[in-house]
Amino acid sequence: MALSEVYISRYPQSHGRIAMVRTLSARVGVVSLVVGPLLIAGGDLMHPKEDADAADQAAIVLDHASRWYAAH
Amino acid sequence: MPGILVLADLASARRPRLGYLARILSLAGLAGFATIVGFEMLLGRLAQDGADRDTLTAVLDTFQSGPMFGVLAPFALTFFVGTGVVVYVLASQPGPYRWLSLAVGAGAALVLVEILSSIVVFSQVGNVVLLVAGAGFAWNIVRQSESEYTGGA
Repeated sequence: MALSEVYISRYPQSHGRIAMVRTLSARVGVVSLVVGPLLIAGGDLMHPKEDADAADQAAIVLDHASRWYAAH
Repeated sequence: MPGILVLADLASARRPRLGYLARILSLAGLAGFATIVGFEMLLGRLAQDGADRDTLTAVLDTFQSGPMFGVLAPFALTFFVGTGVVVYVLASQPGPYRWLSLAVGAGAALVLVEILSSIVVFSQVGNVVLLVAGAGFAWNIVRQSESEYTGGA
């Protein structure tokens, strides 16, 4: 039986939360739940506008090349 | 990616098969997204290096053509299906994750709307919603686990 299963059977009311937080991977995951979306949201907030037309989109990228690169 | 795996783990703790499905779909989706984001970085670098509008247009047209985007887009879309599975599992049961998972679903839906409409404000709002929901998940997981582990002391 895996360690997580042991914790789940020992603390069924926890729905596995104790097992998760008591592992390094879960701690990394918890931090990632904040840092990941923070990076993505930060990049997206500086994202230039988009256009479905390729030529118009190319013009936008040219006008905001650094912002475009940084946003991604 | 570790955060997405945590959400899939939470789903697996409740519905193992659906949690596994969500994990596979989300990872496949992230692979597709990474390819698209990498391409968009390439566009930015080409522009910084002096490429002209016709060159960028040709590169964009090539990437958005059927043989390229037709292969990559389904991969990226699996991310939304995987997220939907997580939301379904976590929102269908009472508990602290119901509203947080619905917020994740709303944020992901707004990002999908942006992809379909090219209106950036949708993904900007969606990603802020995802940030708030992610922080809520993290806070809830840590807080409730510590509380249960110490007997609520």
